[in-house]
Amino acid sequence: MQAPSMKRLDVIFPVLIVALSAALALATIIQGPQFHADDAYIVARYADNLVRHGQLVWNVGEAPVEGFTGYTLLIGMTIASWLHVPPLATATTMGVVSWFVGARVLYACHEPLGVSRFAGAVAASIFLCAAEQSTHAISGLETEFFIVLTIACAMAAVRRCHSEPGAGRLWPLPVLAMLCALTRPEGIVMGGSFLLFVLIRERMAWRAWLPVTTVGLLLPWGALQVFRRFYFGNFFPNTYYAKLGKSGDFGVFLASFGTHAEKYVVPALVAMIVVIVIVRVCGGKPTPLATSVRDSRRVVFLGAAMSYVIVAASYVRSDLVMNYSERFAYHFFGLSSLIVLVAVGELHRYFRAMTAPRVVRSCMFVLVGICLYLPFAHALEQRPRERIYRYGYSLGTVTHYVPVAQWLQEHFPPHATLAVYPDAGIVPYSTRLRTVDFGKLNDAYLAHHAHDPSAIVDYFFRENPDALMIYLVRGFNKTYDEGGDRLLADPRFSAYQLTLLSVDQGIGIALFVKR
Amino acid sequence: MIKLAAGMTIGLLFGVVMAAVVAPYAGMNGFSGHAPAVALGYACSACVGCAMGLLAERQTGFGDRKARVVTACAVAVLATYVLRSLPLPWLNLVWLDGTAGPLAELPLVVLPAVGLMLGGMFGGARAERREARYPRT
Repeated sequence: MQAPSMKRLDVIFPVLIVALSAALALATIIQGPQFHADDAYIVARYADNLVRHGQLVWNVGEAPVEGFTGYTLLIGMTIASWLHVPPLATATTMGVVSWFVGARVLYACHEPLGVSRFAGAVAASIFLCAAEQSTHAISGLETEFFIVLTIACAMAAVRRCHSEPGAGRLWPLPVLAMLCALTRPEGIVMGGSFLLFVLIRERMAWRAWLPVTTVGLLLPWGALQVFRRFYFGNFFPNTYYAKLGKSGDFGVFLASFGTHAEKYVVPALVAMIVVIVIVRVCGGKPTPLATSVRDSRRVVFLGAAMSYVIVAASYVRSDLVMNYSERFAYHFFGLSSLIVLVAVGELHRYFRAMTAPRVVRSCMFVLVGICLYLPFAHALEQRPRERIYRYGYSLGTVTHYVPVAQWLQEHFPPHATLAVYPDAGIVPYSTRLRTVDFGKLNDAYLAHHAHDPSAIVDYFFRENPDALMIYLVRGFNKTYDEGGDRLLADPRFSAYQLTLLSVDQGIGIALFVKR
Repeated sequence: MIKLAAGMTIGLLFGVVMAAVVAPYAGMNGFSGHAPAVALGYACSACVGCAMGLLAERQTGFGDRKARVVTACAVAVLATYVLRSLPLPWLNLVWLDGTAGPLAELPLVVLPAVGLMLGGMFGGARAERREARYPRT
């Protein structure tokens, strides 16, 4: 039995920390600076071509190539383009709304997972305060939307564990899993894992699940694969082959994921383990969990574990190009937040059962409090870095890329060919020129066959573009990669002359035009 | 109060002795850098906790010696984790012994701090127990 003041605190404290975190998140967005990632411009170009020319292609009139990551963002941008709404602003709006909706959905998971309101509020606050969130939300990519979908999938799965097998609403889980698969390729693993473990739990009611799973997930996903195979000629997006073609160091993704987990997941887990150990050895008895709550947690852990293992294995040798703000590990932030939610919930449940002397409890209260504050401290420390990154990117776009795009629009005929090495972002989108993407994402030949620098150089001269826009890392001494260095050093490249150069401390871009 | 002060003094002394013993092995980087150094840091803290749990008196409100030792170890590890993870750049102790790193990477800082805290905890628990048995009138 709790005192009325404690009951009030139970309500006021969660509301207060979530409100403060939401205010901080909102301030981060308003404060800016704004930017859009290169990949967002790529998706916008596909959407633009689909609306204007009725072709889902990178270059109009050429063979289709799947240089975008997911279809949800593409559909959103296509609708926006069709309605004459700026597609990139639409993508940013989707990202920002998903960020806040994600926090709300995460908080709503506290009840089916059998954890306290306090735990829900802490998890939602960490979700809102994480410094990288704002960068991903405004980048114009599908990251935040994907995160909210994974949390929603998990919520639909844990809610199923509180219903009788085969009874109640079955369709949300397969449909959400399908939306996950449409948003990012690995979404089928995340959504499918939760669905799989729910199906195992409800295996006796397979007759009820069969039509829902078939219509909601299997048929649409199968249709998507068939479309991919026949329209693009592959079972996976070209972005997958482009990353396979590069020689990423083993474990780069795991290191990136480790950095992300260390900041936002590990503190809650450490505090939980320590409190559980102390309560266990001191003989405390926490309130028992209902069977349905145990089931729901089992589904979350197994689903998350399976997703972590499969997706991490598929990324293990990938070259994480433009891995700003731990972008690739961030797709797991929804699942990680659910783990944090359960960890804080268990911590709270066990802490209430602690029978150690009062001074030990006070000491633990302070230590656990600071431990749960660590993610916020890291986020506060990271915030200026995120701002610098966004500001640097935005400044780079304005000073380097926009002048090149303007020059090309003024001096190049619409049928000319541009080669970009490797940034296929704002310049191809705004000039609408036929573009050969040496970043490999939008070029099937480069993604599948050009595994060594000489093949890249040969392909360049075979394509014979009218201009080359190349990214410089240390002036002309070092470009984006070895292929770029060899290209500039090749004797055949003397047919091109330097027309525009925008370099700041060795970093920038150069535009070469055919003589 | 006397119990609390005595406990803290014993903890502090124990931490300082442990730090003096382990500092040469930890080297210039202290408990930072490579995984073995970090593991050494946690192991040393756990040792301080273990010793404090063994030294603590029976009348501290714990069920038995095992509970005292395990609790002390767990608290020591959590305290070390919190100290190591707190981003406190203004507490960088480069001037102290030439090592460049945050406060809790140095054995000479983290181990006495953990010992002090554990000593205070057990001393406080003993005082609390005594207070409950012989309440002031």
